[in-house]
Amino acid sequence: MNKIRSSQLYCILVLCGAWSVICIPSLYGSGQILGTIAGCLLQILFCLPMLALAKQQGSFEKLIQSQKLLGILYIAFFLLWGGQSFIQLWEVAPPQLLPSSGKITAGVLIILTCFYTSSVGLKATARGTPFIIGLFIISIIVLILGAWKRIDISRISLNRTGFWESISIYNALSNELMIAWVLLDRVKDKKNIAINSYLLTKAGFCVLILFLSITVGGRLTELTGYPFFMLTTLSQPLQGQRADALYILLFVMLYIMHITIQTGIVGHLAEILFPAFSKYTAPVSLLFMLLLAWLTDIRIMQNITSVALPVLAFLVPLLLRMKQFSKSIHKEQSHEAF
Amino acid sequence: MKHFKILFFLLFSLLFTGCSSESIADRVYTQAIGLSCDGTLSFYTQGFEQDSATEPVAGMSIAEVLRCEESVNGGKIFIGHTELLCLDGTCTLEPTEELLFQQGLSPACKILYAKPENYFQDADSTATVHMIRMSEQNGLLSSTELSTVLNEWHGIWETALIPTESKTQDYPELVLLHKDGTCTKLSAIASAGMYWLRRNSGSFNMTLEIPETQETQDIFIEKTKVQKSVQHGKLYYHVKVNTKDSTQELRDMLQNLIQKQCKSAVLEMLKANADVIGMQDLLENAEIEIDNNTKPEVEISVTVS
Repeated sequence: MNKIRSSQLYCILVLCGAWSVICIPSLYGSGQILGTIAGCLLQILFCLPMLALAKQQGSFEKLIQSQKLLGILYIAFFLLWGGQSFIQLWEVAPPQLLPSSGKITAGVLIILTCFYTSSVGLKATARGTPFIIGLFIISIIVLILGAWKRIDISRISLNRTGFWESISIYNALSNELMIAWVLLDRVKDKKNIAINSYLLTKAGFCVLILFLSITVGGRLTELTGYPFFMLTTLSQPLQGQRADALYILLFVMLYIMHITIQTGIVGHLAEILFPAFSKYTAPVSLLFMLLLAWLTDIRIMQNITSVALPVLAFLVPLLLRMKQFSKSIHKEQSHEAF
Repeated sequence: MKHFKILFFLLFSLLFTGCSSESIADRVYTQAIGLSCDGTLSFYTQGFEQDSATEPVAGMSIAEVLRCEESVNGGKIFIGHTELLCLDGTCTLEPTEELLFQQGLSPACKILYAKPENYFQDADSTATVHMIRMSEQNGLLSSTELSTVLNEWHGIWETALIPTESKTQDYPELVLLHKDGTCTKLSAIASAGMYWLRRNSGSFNMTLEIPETQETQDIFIEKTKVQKSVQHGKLYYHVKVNTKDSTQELRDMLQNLIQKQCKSAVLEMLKANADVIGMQDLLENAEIEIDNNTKPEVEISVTVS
């Protein structure tokens, strides 16, 4: 795979992060906003080892080439995450976004599109992300405009309800950090800016959705799952025209981009690990994801990925960095001895 | 430039969502719907054309009555543009929630407390909706819509503020409709007080009657704001009203009038065991334990500048 620009990496991460935010399952209380900010700060710390390693070009590639089993674990992580996303498509979409009468047709069409997009490769996907970012920004503006009149600040309280739940949910829904770790090798410069901007953008988007859900939805948000979708129901800026079409477009685009990036990364990892079989790995990985979605319970997949994320995206880079550090100290000591 | 072209194409594609193999004649757009549950669920509709109210259909659920209504109307029903929902108290929370979350009813849809069988006999929903909107804009009626009503029903006191047609005045009156269907009508002075105590917007001219001379004088209300706080378990509502080009005498008169209206509103609301002015949020934020028998102490103050 060729190099990607830091802005493209930022777009990839933000779009995957946006999908995670719209999949936040429930709202506990105003403390969730502070929990999100704390979760973001925690993730900035989490990213330090991978950013330190990314200064040396090719560190991730060398790692999985020398430790093939670890590379396979990374592939397994993305396959499980993809399987999880397929179930989420079914579970999270409310009737106005995927009408129950045509849910199967819509699902099949989305999966067929994913098959096509997964075959175009990660580079082409990265180039396409700025358009989806444009659409994402327009949708957010419409969402805010629709919600603006119904904001009631008195619904926000200064208590800690939902603080700890929010930190754990926010971190469990941050699988994009794995994408960052895998793709940092392919970015030339401004890696720190791309990662930190992504973390701040995602936290900002998450805080916005939580704030609007609490102040606009009020008690209705506690009854319905998935605050983002409740918000799309309540946020209709025009009296004569519903904004559902825009939300449908955003939902489908984010989903397709999300799956395409996952399959693209599996293809990229397979290219490094097994160069002979790399040609059709992306579409084949999509089949694996569908199979996993069909055979495995979403909770099992969620538990595995939430345990694997800190190990593979934080502990592995940390150990690798410590190893490099001890090596350099050892080298210096042996130089001094000579 | 290429990026903008593609983004433009993506946004242009939104127009395709209006395309369908179905003819427009095969779709039915409702302007007003009515619900009544007398053993079974009765569903009334009215389209945007005049005299388009249809005979009610009955069923066990919203999905069933919508199916029946489609057969009666001979087209697929779309309730996303509905402007008015007429309820008589026999149907409250569950059906309206289903209409909002499952069937795409607009959150800004106005709610009217009336018997659908009477209302839909000679209904002019355009006039009703305009009357409610204009009354809200002119400071005669507190703003109510589907999303606020549902929020209020989900509160501890399970009561929502809803307009109803008036026999004594030209604009709607307000009722407190409990989730269980019981209803308390507010007096004219309490209804006026609700306007100041709830969230509202807009500027309007208000007419004041000067008692000494029996003359009337207009005062322009530029902005209103309510500040809420809790101190030692007591709720404080401070209403701030900004006027334009007014005399001190008029401002004092207005201040007394608003104070009187707000006090009546709170008194009648507490008597009906209701909360439509956000008391629950305030008490919960202050971490004060409450139940539906709690009668909070409320202090009102008004400043007119």
